[in-house]
Amino acid sequence: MTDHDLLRAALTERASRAPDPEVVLANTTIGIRRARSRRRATAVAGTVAIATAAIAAGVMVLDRQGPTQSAHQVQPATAPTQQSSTARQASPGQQLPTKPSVSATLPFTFTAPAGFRWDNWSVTPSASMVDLRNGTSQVNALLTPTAPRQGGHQGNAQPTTVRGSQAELRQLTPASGGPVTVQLVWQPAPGTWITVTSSSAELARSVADSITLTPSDPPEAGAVASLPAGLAVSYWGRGNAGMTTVMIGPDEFADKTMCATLNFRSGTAPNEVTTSGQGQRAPLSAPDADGVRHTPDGRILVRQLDQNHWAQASLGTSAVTAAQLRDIILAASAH
Amino acid sequence: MEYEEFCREQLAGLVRFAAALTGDTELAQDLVQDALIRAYPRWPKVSRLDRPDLYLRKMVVNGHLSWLRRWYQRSVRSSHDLIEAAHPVAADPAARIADAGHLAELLSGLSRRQQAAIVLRYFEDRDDAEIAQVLGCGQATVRSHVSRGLSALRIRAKAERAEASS
Repeated sequence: MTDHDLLRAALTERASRAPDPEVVLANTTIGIRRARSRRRATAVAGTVAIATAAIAAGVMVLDRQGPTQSAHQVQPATAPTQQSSTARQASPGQQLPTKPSVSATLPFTFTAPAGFRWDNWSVTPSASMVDLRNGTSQVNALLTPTAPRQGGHQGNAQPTTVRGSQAELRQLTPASGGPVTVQLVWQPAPGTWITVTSSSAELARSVADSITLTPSDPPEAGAVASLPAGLAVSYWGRGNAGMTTVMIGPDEFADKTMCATLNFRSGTAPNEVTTSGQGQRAPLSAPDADGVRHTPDGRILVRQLDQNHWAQASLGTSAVTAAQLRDIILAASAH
Repeated sequence: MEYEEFCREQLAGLVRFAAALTGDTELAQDLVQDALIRAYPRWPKVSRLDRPDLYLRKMVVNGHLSWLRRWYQRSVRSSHDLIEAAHPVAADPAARIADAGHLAELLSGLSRRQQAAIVLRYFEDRDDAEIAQVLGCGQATVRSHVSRGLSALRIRAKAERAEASS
């Protein structure tokens, strides 16, 4: 093996420590929302008197929390379902909220094509998505409260319809070359845009035509019976790491540095856990009366939820206290 | 290319690049998130570039360099690091050379621009022109970074072999 081969192997090993892209994407979405809020606040302050600007900022804060998302609201748990999307009861003509529920509820329902299984999914206050996969075939459905940005591929866009709504069929060629990707984009309701992406036009059309704005439950989502007062969920999803992750912080737009992380995992809880991105590990204590185990520094808690599932709750910063972390893991359940 | 489309296509590669560059999951995550958040409001302009993927790598590399500058101003070596420095573990030299993790440690001793050039060349297989675009320098400078970086790695590895066998 040459020096160059060794170097490539070393770099590949380092690259294996890459963070979960889904978590990165979720945090990026939150960061963009925060940056927008800051810009809006700055614009307001620059054009009106200070007193008026203060009032406007107050209104913005109230608007961000929304009428049903007070900071002290206890969030409901949701039950996971099997491979296909399972619709919940919804009133006819139900409008999709622009800020989805913080529980693990997708704000839409779809029918997975034969042979496809859920791969990644995530629900955040600003976007919800699901990836379906069958071998190398993949289809992605993304719901956002704003229109997807218009890029440099407009020459290949064609008007079409999806379930009676005006839609756009786009054929996208990656800048770096490679296979053409097909996208169907439409607005099924005010403040709601859906984008279905696939390498196959038939697949994209099949999934797009099946989508309704009825909330549904992802599989293997885990559940949290209630949250401590003052905390909210900012991300709930399953990424490439192969486990469901919930990020819980002081508000629904809190970034990861402010959040505790709750992971739902399959199997039996181990006797030690990884405590850092550098692979450092720490032993877990024996279970206490509630079945909770902890690392020596108390920053990670582990609990066996049932015979086949366990959960790990990890502190981020002081925004979530040790007592709140304990409440979170005690409220966690596999279903 | 739309922002969302770019993220879907490029994010996996971008986080792996950041992890190869930093060797640190948390830092890689922070750098990529910062880059994507800062790129979003400029996306109409970024998307018109020939290679938005290289532009995002440039943002990650610049973020790494500025992060290192901030970190150096307040970093203190941990007691564990001091013990390691005073009492280096002498392992079998052949085994150490073959250990990819050890080679990564050697890599961390290079200058940050040399590290970035080495990662872009040997992890991402980028050519001189692409690396020059990311680092914001000329192609001759890229060749210099790569050549000197490799030489430094070989010298450090040789010194450690000599130390381990003495």
